[in-house]
Amino acid sequence: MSKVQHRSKLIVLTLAVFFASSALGAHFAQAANGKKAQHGLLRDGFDQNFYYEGTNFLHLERLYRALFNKKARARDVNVYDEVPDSRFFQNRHARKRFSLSELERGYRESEGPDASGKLLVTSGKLEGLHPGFFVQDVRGDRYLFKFDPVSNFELATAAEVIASRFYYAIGYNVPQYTIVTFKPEKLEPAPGARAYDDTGFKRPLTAEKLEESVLFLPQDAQGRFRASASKILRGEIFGNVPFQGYDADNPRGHVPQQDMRAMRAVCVFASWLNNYDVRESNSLNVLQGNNEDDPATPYLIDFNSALGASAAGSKPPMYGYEHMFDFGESSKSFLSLGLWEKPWQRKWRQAGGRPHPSEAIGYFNNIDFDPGRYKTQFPYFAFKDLSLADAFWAAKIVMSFSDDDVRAMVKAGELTNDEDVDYIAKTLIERRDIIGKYWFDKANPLDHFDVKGGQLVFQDLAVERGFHPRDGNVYRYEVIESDANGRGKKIASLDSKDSALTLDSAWRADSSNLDILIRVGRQNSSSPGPYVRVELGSGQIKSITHED
Amino acid sequence: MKHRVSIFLIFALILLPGAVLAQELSYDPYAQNFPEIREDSRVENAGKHFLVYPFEILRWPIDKILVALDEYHVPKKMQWGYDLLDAQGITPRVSLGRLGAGVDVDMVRLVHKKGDYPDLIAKGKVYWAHDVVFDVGTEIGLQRIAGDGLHTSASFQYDDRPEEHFYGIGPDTSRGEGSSYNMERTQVDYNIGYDFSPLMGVDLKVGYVNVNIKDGEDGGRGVIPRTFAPGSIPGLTGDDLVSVGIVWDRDSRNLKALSTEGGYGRLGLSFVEGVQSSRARYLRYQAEVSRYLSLGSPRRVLAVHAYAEHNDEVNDGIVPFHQMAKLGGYGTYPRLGHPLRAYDFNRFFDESILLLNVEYRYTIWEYNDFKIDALLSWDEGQVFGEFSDLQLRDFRESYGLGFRLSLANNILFSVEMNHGDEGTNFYVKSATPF
Repeated sequence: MSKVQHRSKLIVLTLAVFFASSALGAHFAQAANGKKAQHGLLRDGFDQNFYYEGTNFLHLERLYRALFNKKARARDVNVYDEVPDSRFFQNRHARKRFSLSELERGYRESEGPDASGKLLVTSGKLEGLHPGFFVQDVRGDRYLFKFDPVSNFELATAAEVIASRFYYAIGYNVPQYTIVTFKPEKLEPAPGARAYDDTGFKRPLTAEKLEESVLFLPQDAQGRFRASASKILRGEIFGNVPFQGYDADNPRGHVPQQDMRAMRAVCVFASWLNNYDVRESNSLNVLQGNNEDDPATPYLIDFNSALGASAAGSKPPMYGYEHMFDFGESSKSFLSLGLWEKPWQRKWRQAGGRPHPSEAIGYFNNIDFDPGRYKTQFPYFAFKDLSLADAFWAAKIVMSFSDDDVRAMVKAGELTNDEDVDYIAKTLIERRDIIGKYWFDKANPLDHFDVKGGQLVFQDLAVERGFHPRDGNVYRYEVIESDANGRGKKIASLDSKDSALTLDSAWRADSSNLDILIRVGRQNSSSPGPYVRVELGSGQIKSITHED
Repeated sequence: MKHRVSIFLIFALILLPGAVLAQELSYDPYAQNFPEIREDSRVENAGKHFLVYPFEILRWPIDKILVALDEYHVPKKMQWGYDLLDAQGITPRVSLGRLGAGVDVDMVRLVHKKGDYPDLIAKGKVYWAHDVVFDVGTEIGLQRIAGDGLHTSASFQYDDRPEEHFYGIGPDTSRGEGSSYNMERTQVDYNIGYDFSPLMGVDLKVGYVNVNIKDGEDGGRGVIPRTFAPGSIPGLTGDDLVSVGIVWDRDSRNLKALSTEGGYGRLGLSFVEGVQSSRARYLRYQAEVSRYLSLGSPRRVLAVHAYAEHNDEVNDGIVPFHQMAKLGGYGTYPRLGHPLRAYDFNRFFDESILLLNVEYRYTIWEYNDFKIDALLSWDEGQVFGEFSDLQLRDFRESYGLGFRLSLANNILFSVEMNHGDEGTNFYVKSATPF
């Protein structure tokens, strides 16, 4: 065989493999589109801790971005660098403030289970010390009841309800969560009820089995059980919400979930609420439309591991600091021969190896809390791809909650002791400010741009929130003129202490568009930080882009 | 006036964040007005991700299996099955690495008499591992006799080991002279002892063992009679041995497998006499000690283990080769040798042994009750005949690196790599050598 023939065969073979891969890739890319995506802890654990971690840099664009420290711009943002409403995310409190009572009530379809009559257990899990029941009340409404661990009365139930209020007010869909208390005798197995027990098999639920399963549940002073009751969602469950890859519910067409700012920002909100357990299997896609073609509505669910809680008791000390399996942290420990004390180990040691003395609080404090290093259980691509612009957007939302807003939502946890309510609210308020300061300092914190009276005006949110004094800030402007072909030319550069830039009429004479890049210089800071680009046209703001 | 100012300030503080965000803009910042983004064509998309596609084919079935395991509560069912058997006194043993399986049976629990006879011992076991061992045994006895530390038991054991390795006797044997033999043992023991405390006890043992030696079944190796000169290996035709001995031990470890403090010590002395045609007659001295030291934290542990054994011929007696001290391998059941991990199991035989194992164990990952310890190991040991034969140059080293995954301080598996003069050994085990 001649060399030419050999080379031709090689080229043909290479192309065949490439296009076969291409077709295969397209298949996988579309597999999740409109198809039921099912997850569980085992799958999430394998996929996220091992598979995607292992193949991360086989995605050439991810490798390129890692090598050159680039971030992929979110693709669900509009021209003003905001995330418009979608099925996944709706701008709520940050757009139009909820009243304190609305914040406390959260998402509501009813007043919660009616515990005045029998509570019929239709199915559930009777496993060990952590049973959970599907319950039907006298009104016929169906709920999922989850209880506190025996060691920590009010911990998990309060965490679930409180966190649900935050997620809803932020803009995500959550089921209705309420606290319900009831006497043990109210619980009765429904006719034909079956439940998973310790054997892992689903068996008929008898009154004896039910009684046995609640034997170790904590009770209040009146001998009542306390549960978080999530109202069963209307519609057909259609698997879990993919945190990466493609999802049918996407206003931007075929945009991977990891390129959605509202998805990436989930990790920022998780850091605020210490919701380590946010994962694909703690989400639901629900078909609620009347037509078959209506896309599913994505929900975030299961918040009983937020704040200082985990399902089994106080939050384990490594949560929030390491992924379930964390190659980076483990490698550091390995290479240091175990002499390096991990941040969570230091914090736990400083805490005396004990959580908060109140069992309703668990392990929740702000010692060593670093918003940039907070880790959820799994290292989703979406969370890794969080850019400064994404984090700034999330931090803006976090900062939109006042102290009273936070207290109102914490109140929804119906904790018995006021000290516990105060502690949780205080911790969340401090945490809010730590997050705000961290991301406002990292990103460009200028926002609320407008053109008024011939001036480009804006707000420096870091100053407005008191993270920096009003004096001593320098705004560095670069004015770039763009022609019709998009070619830009810098025509002015100036520094100002004012959060307003007078638009010189000469700049606008011939240009079709004007780009203004603004950076912020702080006292005691040598570098001006990332930019925000404001595009002006016809005296209007055409677009705003925070540097990623 | 001051009061009014305070009220004003409080209101201002509460309303400020809202006021900031509620500021009217001349445009709707939440408008569904998206910038134009060029989407990748299918070919471009494939170009970016094609390296991953072959792995996706692997992920797909694994995901399906994992989802099914979750959905059908399979881990729970398996746990329940294991617990159910365990509650009946049946403990399954499975070794995927060497294709082995077996079961330990506590017959008192099996017949639901543990409540009536808490101190009665009646156990049985059977274990088989391909080309390694077939082992069956039983033990009957009593603990806490008269409510005290007195205990007694009798046991029977039969094991057949088709491929025991043998390289000759002494520290200077050649790896090239590897042979294998089949050892079949039938053993009856009686033991009576007293526990002075939960930590410390002494036992008197009397036993009989019949050992049959045949050619090994390892196809790639020679057999002893053809590899070694006739008559050079004592006990090659097997032996019948009776023994009487005393053992003192003390165990102050806080955990059996991954101790972080305390230690273990054992001293043994026994006399062995050959019966029928056996010429064996010797005294066996054994000393073993291990210590576990936390280095400022239970996450850093220095584990030290030392072992010494000497078999001293009495009168004109011999020590059969199959009863000699053995060195090499990982040092855990079903193998019989002591740990010198970079060397083949049973690599060295002789009448005496000196061994030191040191491990620095440190935790690198924790998640709830799961833990991974990294370990650096160093084994140093030699075999020798008499004490006068002991020479520094005959010590053999093994250096190792490994990781141990444990759940609630029970080892799930240990992966280790050990290097020495004769190469590198890899192990996947569910135990520690000490």
